[in-house]
Amino acid sequence: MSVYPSYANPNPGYPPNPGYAHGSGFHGPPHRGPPAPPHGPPAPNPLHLDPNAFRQFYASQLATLTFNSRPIIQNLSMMAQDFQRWASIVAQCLDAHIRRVPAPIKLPAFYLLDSICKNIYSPYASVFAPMVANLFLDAYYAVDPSTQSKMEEMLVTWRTGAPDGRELFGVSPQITLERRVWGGGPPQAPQQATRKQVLAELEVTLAQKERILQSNPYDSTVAQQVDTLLQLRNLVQHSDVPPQDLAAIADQLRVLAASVPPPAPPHIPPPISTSVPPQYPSSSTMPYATPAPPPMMGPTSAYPPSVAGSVPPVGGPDLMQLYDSLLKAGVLGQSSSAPEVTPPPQVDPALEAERRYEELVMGMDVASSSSDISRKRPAIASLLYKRLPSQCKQCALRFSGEEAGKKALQDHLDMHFKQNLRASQNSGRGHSRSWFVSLEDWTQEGVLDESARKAASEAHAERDSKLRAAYVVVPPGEEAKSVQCPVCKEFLKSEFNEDDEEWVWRNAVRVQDKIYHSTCHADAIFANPLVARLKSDATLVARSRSRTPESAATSTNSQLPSTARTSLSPEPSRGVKRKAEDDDADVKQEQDTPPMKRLALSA
Amino acid sequence: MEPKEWLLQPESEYRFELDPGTSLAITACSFTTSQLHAVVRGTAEVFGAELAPGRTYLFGHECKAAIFTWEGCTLEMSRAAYVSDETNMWTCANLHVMFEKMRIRARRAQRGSPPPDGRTDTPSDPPRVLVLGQENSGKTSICKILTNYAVRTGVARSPVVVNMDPGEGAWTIPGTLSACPISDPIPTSTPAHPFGTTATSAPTTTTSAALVPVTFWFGHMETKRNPKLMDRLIKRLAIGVDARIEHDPIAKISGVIIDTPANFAAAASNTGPTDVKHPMVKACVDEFRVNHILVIGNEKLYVEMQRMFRGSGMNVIKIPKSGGVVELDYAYRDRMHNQQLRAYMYGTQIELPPGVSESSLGGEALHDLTLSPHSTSISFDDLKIFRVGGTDSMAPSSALPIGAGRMISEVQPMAVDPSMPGSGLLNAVLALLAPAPANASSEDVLADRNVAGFVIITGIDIPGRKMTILAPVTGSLAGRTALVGTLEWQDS
Repeated sequence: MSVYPSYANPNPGYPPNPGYAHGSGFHGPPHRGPPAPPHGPPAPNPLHLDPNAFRQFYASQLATLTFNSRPIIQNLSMMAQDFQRWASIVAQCLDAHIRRVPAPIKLPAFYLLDSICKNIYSPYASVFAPMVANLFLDAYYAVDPSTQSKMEEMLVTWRTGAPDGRELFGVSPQITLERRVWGGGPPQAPQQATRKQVLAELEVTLAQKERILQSNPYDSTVAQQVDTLLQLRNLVQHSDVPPQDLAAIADQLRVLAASVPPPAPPHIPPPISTSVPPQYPSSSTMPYATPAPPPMMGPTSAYPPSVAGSVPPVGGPDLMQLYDSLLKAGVLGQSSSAPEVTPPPQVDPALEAERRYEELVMGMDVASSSSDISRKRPAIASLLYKRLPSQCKQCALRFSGEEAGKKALQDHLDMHFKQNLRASQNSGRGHSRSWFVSLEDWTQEGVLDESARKAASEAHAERDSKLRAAYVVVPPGEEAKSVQCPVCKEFLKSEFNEDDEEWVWRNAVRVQDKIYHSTCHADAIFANPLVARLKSDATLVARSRSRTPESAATSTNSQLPSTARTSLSPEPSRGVKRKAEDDDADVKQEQDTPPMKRLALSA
Repeated sequence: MEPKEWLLQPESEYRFELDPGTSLAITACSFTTSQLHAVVRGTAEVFGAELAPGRTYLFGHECKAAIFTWEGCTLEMSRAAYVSDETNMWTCANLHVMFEKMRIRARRAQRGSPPPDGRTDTPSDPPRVLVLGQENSGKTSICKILTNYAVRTGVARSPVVVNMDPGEGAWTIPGTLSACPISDPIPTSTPAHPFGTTATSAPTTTTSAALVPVTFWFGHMETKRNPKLMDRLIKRLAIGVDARIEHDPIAKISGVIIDTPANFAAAASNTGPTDVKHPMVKACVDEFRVNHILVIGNEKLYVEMQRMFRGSGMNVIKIPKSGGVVELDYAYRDRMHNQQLRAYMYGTQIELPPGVSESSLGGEALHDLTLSPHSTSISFDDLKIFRVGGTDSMAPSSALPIGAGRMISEVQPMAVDPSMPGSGLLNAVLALLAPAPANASSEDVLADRNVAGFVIITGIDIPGRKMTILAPVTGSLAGRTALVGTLEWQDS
C-alpha cells in the first residue's frame, strides 16, 4: 500500500487541508492513520519514477509556500521524506524557489529547508551542505533586518542541528556562515562574539527553554533559567557589554544549548512559535496551532530516540552563575545609563537593607566645619528611631521592619531568652569577674565567621562524643558500690559492656584514684562549662554576642589546638561549682599554669 | 518622694546629679494619648543609648547624667531635677552622620562596591577620632554618644573605643589604658563604668555588660607621672588595636574613638613649637592615624590643633561644651575610683530607691551583678612583683643636675621585694600580667604585656613570707608576674 496514494488521485473522502493552498490533490497523509515505512512497496505513482514529473510537482507545491504556513511546510517536508531518492531535485527546487521569490517570502522557504534537513537529515543535509552557505547569505543580504535576525536565530540552531548534536551542515559551512553573518577576525583567530550574535543565540536558547517550560510548567530549574536568560537579553540589549563578557555569555550559551536536546520533531523553527514578522499571519490565527499533529508520527518514528526528546530537558550550566559573574565583572556597573536591570533573584536581604541605609545616609546633608556642626538637620533623628520601627522590649535595641530586620530581632530575642533562662538557672550561685584575655586572643576575637563557627561546633561535638565514649572498668567486687563524680556530685551509672564482657562506668575517667565523669573532668580542666556554653550559644546569635566572657587562661591556650580558641577558650581557676570545691581541689591544681610553663615564666 | 511623671519636650533633656548614697529609678513611658502631647511616640536616650519604654532604669553612685529625647516623651521618676532644651545633641547627630558617611565609604571599599558618590579620589578611611578637652568638658560623654549612635544604625558597626585617660578607669580601674570594640549600646547607670562593664561569669543580657577589653597598666592616675611610659603604652595600644581590626572587618570599617585625659589639652610647656607642646596628642595622632580631632569648648586649643596639623588632611572640629556638664571635684573622683575598684571585685550594687521594687539596671537583673572575689594567702615567691620606672618618688628630669642622665629608665621594671619593710605593697593594687608570649624573655618588655586582671595585697606577713591577696576569681597565682603602681585600695 502506498503511503501517499492520493497524490495523483485526490481522495474526496478527506476534507481538504486548510493549509493546502492549491488544492491540487495533495491530501490526506496528515490524516492517515498508521505511519508507513519510508520506502514502501513500489507505487504506481509516476512521481516515484519520473524525476521531471516530481520536479514539476514539487516546484508547484513549493510555489504555494508564500507565507509562513506550518501545514504547507509539513507537507513539503513529508514529500521530501518520501522522495528521498530525488533529494537533489528537492534541493534544486528549493534553491531555485528561494532565489526566485521576493525577499519577504524567502524566510518560509528557509524554514522548510531547515525542517527537511533537521527532521530527515540524511541525505538532505549533505545535499544542501555545498549550496547552503551561498543560498543563505544571498537571502540574508536581501531581506530586512527583522527577517535577518530570524535567519540568525535559525543559523544558531544549525550549530547543533544534526541528530548527534553537531553542526547540521558540517563545520565548514557553519563557520563560513557565522563569520559572514556576524563578522569576526581572520579565519584562524578565535571567533569574537558580537552583540548581534549573542542576542541571536540568546533568543534561540530562550525559545528552547520556553518550549521546555511550556511542556513542563513546574520545572523550576528551567523557569529560573528562562528568567536569567531574559535578564541577560535585557542586559545585552541595553548596555555596552564588553567583548570578553559577550564571549563569556556566548560560551555559556553554547554549553547550555549543547545540553538541550535538539528540538524534538515535529520540528518547529523557533520563530514560528514565538513571534512572526508582521507580513506573515500571526501564529495565533493559524489553524495548526495545536502542537504535535498526528501527521508527523511517521517521520518521528524515523529518528533515533535521543532526538525524539527523551533527553531530560533540565541540565546545563547554571546561568545564575553566569549572570552573577557578569554582575561581578562590572557589566551592570557600566550600564548606568541603561534601563533598570532586574537584580538577580537571590540577593542577601541584609545586604540590600544595608545598601538602602547607605543611600539614605549618603543623601544627608552634613557639613564638617565647626561653624556648621551644630545646625539642626531634622532628618537625622529619624535615622535612630523611625527608620528602625521594631524594638526589643528588654534592651531597647531597634531593628528595621524589613525581612532582614525581623530575622535579626528574632535572633536577638532568642538570645535574650537563652540568657534569661540561664540567669534563672544560675541564680544563687556566686559569680565573679573573669580574667581578661591575652592580647593574642583579643585580636583574634573578631574572627568568628561562618566556617570558624562551624569548625568550632564540630570540634566541640567531636570532643564531647569522644569523652562520652570513654569508660572505666569497674573493679571486681565493686559492682554494687556507688561512685560519685566529685565534680557534679551525681552517681556514675554502671553498665555491662557486651564486647569486653565486663561492667564499666560510661563517660568516666580515673584520675588519681578518683572516678570522674570524663565530661565533667574535661570541663573542669579546660573550661568553665558555663563559659563554653555561653560561647557556643553566642556564636549562634551572631556577632553581637561574640564577646561573652572568656577568661584569660592564656597559659593553657598554647597547648590547645587552634580550633579550640573559638569554642573552648579555657578559663582557668574558677571553681567549677562552688559546692564541689573541696572535692575537686586536685582538679583545680591542674587548671592553672602547667609546670612547664611555670618554669619558663620564672626563668 | 513619690514617683512623678515628667513631660519632656522634643530635643530637651532631663539632667540629674545624684548625691552620695542616693539612687534614682527612671521609667521611660511611651505614651500614645494625644491629650498629653502632640508627639504620640515617646523615645528617650541616655548618652545615646535608648531606654526601653516601660522599663525601670536605676542610677546610682553619684551618677550625673541626662535623659535626652528627640521626639518628646514622658518620664516617671522618683526625683526632681531640671530640664534643659539647650543641648549639644545636634552636634553629636551631625558628627554621627559625618562619621557614618566615612564608614559607608570604608564598608563599600571593603566589600568591593563602588564608592557611594562615585568619587574614587576620596580616601576610604573610617573615622578615627581623638576627643580633646579640658577637665569637666564632657569628653567621655561625647565618646559614649558617638559610640552608641554608631552601634544603633541597624547595620553592622563596632567602633573600637580607646581610653587614653589613666585617671578614668573606663572598663576596669584607674591607672590603666584600654581599648574595646563596642557592638551594643552602652547603658548608663553608674559613673564607675562609663563604657560598659567587663565580662563576669554571670550570664548577662547585653553585650555591653560582658565586654572583653585589652588593658595595659600605667600604674598612676596622671599621665605626667611617667610620660615616657605613657608614650610607650600609646604605641603598644595602637599596635594591639591595629592587630584587632585586621581580624575584625566590622571593627575595621567602624573606626576608632579615643577618649583622652584633660592634660592632653593642656600644653606640656608654654614655649616652643606646638608639637613639642602637645607630645601625647602627636603620639596618638601618629599611632592611631587619627583623621578627626574634636576639641570641646576650647578656642585656643582648637587653633593650636589646626596649626599643628595643617596640611595633613586632619579635620579639626570645634564643638560646644554641653551646658549639662558638671564640675567634679577631687573628692568626687576619689570616691569614683574607690567605687570602680569595688565594682571590679564585688560587682555593681545600687540600693533600690524607696518605692521601687522590681527594677532592672540598664537591662540587667540586679542579682547577677553581685560578684564574689576570692581571698587567698600566697608565698612571697609565688608572685613576682615589679614597679615600672622605679619608685614613685622619682624626681622630675628638670630637677636633675645639668647633663646628668637618669640612672634608671622610665620604662624599666624594678623588682619589688615584699619582704623589705617599706615596700609600699600593703593595700597596693597590682596588675596581674598576661603570661609572656613564648618568644619574649627580657624583663624590660613587662610594661608591654597586657593585664589579665587586678589583685590587691590585703595583708603582708614578713616573718612567714606570705601575703594575703584579694583576687577577682579563685585560682593559683603561682609563677605569675604583677606590676605595682601608685594605686591603693582598702576594702571598707
